[in-house]
Amino acid sequence: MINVYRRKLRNCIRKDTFRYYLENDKDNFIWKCIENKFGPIVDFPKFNLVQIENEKFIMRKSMNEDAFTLIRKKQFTPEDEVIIHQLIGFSE
Amino acid sequence: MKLINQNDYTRDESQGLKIIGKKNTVIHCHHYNSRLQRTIEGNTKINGKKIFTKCAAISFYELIENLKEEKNCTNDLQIITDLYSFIGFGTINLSFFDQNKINCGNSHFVEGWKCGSIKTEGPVCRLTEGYLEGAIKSVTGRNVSIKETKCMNQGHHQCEFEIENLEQPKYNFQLEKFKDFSFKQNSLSPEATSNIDKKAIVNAVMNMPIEGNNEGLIPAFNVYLAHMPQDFYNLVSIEFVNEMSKIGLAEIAQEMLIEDAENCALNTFGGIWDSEEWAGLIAPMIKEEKDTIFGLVAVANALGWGKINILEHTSFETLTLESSNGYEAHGYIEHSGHSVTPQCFMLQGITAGLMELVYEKGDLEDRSGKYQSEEITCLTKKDKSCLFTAKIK
Repeated sequence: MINVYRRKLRNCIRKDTFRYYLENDKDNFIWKCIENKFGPIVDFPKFNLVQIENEKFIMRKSMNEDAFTLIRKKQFTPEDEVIIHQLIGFSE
Repeated sequence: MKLINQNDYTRDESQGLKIIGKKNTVIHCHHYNSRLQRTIEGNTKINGKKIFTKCAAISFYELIENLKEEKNCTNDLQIITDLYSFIGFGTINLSFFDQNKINCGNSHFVEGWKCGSIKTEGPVCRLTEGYLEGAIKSVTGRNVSIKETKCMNQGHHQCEFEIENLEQPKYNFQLEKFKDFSFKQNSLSPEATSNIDKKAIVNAVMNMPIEGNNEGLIPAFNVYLAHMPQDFYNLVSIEFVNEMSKIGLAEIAQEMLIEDAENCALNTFGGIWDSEEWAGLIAPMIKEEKDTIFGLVAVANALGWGKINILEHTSFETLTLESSNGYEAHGYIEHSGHSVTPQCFMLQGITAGLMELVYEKGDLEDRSGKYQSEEITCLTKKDKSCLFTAKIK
């Protein structure tokens, strides 16, 4: 069982922007799964930051934290959210 | 291939300027931009919508004229769509341009209005109307008026605009000749000490490839950012205060602009502070409570706002900022000459808002007004720099 929780960001890009917090020892595994499913990862070394972006969303992650932010785009659907939640093991 | 790209920027990290098409561009977020629009348009005794659209038309006409010259693309409509999305305002579709119709599938301003605490049910894309009027004038020479007929803010799936041909220019599009950056920049007093590597932050943020994505939007630092020619903000601010002064409300207008900036600090810098970018770059530098303010001000130095130093800061109590070349002072002097009163309302509001963000608790809306800020000296008064203080009320 993977323990993942999320927090709505108060100063949001959109009102449905969340940060997902991952268990420390599962962080690399989950991010690898995300990369395999949605990759490729783009690296921003000055920010110690990695990001995956496609037509529907952006996943952005500081390498200093076991968390990532999911930024939705206009084409993002509830089905996309279900797929991501299943992948990272998140449920409300 | 896009007509505009990152190589078109000239970055001056030492002076905090980011120039494209001979214009310094200022970065603000969707919260601030939509709030500013609401302020300008909110008073029914003046025509705020006209101010907003006109200032956009004139500012972007000039910018596109300069870009055309630099890039040798005299009448290519593509520059209209490419610039709009590159600077983060969304996407423009000119497929029906021949039928005098334009639509936009994504909008920085609509996103801002959707996030704001105060809603409106009408169309909100005045910036786009002005942008298109100026851009079409520049690229085609046509005198047009643009009207938004449907807006995503009203629930439509795209914003739609109609082009009306005019016989005469809607505005005075005469190019201003004084917009250069040889503006005298005095040196700043030394910055107070902190654990923040300001130079590294300015370098990283200023060279970040900030440009519109496939939606023409710039989701960065937990907000939607956009680059705006500084002329736009200056013209809007000056015209707004001038119009309000005609009905005896100049001071209230200035206070409203200060309050918008205070909220900008709470939202924009709140977003920055809570972002993955902050966690990766700046959070590791934070060793003491006061460092947060220094980190936020370091980011501000990379937003095209000019060079800003913290002269003094006592946690929970006071903050003193100094600016040697802020865009407001620069623009005011260019437009109106010198003044007997300070004119940098944005930076004044930011000074209080930063303190409220970092040291107050609770909802952001409830923090506003907890600190009192003042612009002590101002370049517009012929002082050597602009000096801002904030202290707890």
